Amino acid sequence: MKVAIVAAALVLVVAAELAWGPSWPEVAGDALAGAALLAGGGIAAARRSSRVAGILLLAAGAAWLAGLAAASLAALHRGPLVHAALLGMRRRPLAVAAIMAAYVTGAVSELAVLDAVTLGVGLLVVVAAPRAPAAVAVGGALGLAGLAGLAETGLDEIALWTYFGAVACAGALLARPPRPDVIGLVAELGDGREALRDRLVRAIGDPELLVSFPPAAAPQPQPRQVRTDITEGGELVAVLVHDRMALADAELRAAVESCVRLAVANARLRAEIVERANEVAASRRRLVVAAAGQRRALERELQASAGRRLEAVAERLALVAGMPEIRGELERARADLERFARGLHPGALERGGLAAALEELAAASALPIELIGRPPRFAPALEATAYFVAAEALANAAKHSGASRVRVELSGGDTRFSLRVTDDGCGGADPRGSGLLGLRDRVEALGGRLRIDSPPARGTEVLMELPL
Amino acid sequence: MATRVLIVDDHAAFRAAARALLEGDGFEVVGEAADGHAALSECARVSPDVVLLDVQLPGLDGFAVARELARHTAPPRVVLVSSRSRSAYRRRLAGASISGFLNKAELSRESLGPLLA
Repeated sequence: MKVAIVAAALVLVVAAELAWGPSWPEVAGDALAGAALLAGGGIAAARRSSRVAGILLLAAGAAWLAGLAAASLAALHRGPLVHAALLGMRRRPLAVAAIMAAYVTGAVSELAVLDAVTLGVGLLVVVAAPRAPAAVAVGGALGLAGLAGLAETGLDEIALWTYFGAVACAGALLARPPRPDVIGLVAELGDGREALRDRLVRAIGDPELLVSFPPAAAPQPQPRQVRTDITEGGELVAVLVHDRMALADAELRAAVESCVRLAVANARLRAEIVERANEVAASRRRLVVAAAGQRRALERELQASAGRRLEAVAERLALVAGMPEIRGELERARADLERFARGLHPGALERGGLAAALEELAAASALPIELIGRPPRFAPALEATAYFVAAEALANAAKHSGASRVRVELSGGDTRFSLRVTDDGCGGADPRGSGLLGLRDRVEALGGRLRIDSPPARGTEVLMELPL
Repeated sequence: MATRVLIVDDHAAFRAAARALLEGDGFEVVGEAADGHAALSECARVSPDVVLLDVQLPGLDGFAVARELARHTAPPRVVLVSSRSRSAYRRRLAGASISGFLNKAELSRESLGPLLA
């Protein structure tokens, strides 16, 4: 088919030339330039990634032939040829202007014959894409042709051959597959699998592309599609399902394969890191929960053993008169034990939950404390953590802030609850120096967060949030 | 019967030179025109066998005149002449309805005769 088109083109050229005394080398040059456009267009159009460029080249080739049939169409090929050469730069206003100028001046023969116009279009094409070889070739040759006409210095022949050469070069250059932007590809790998697929779709120009890793889930190729297995050290790591022409170019294929390998390695590393992070978080949480359980057990143990014994001693002592010093010591020992046990795990927490424990805490505080909100029961480790945060915040308020009142607010929903302790004290508390710092570890281990806001002279706010 | 020729050129000197050359060679110069539109009306009036047609003319250029003439039922043969080489008009010449192209620098009995005969 392609050969037939090119052969027909050659016959047409020769037939058109026979009518008048032609210069045979020029006939051959004309024919070869047209053939290069058609052949390049045919090759590019067969490839999905360069289909548009191919169609434009074929149009340019057809227009080139039409120009041989009618003098008024001599420059008609200019539009599609410049369009194909600037295809990748359609977002630049200059490139758009150059493409439009090429179409208009190519189609309107009164403009096409003006040398100044030809020179202008040529310069515009070069300026629009100084780094695109095809555009520079075509634009430069157009510029030279315009210049030759304006200067009338006998450059005509050189300009003509330059133009033939440029047209043939553009046909060959634009027939090549577009190079994938491999650096951009690797830079974007971090965004995950969808980003990789999008990037590959752009690189190989196949919107139906499917990327599958792990390869076990690879979809079946549809008609006109093929499957490309990507291996790493003998192991199948990914499968691409794509248009059968999409990876026909060996260089493109190699680039795509190494990018997918990188992406797979990257995805594995990420998965591993996420897994490790999850493991560490779970382990921290288990430690906090276990520590809370141990404190609770220790508190129970103390109350049950030492506490019970002291109580028994007190009962016996009640039956005996005198010994006020021993009674005093005993009472102090019982109070110490009580305080120590509460520091480990307040009994009220166990019996009545956070609400009850905070009420007890408020009652024991020297400052007036306003309790807002009555939370339901939570897991023991959560209740204990919230309790100790509140206790520490209240102790700090009483000791350092000079506050006249403290407010403790509890609020929450189905998924998280928060504790907010605010005072009207002097503020300026250093969150790092506070005993709250140790509590932050516990809060964070449970997946929550603790924030201390203490601007000078504006009071202190401690906010703790925990997921349920 | 002598071949009847119309000479179209915006330079009177060239027209005179061509007329002398052609008449000396047995052609009959039936008219002259200095621009594209005049060429068309002259053609309609004198119906020449051949038009010796300059490319760079005021108004319609030689190619446009040739295209217009080709639409006639019995179009005259057209020989384009120009001070520029054929390479300058290569692609337009290929598609033009003409019988020949002559560079003005090559104008002579030897070059003109075979094209017009």
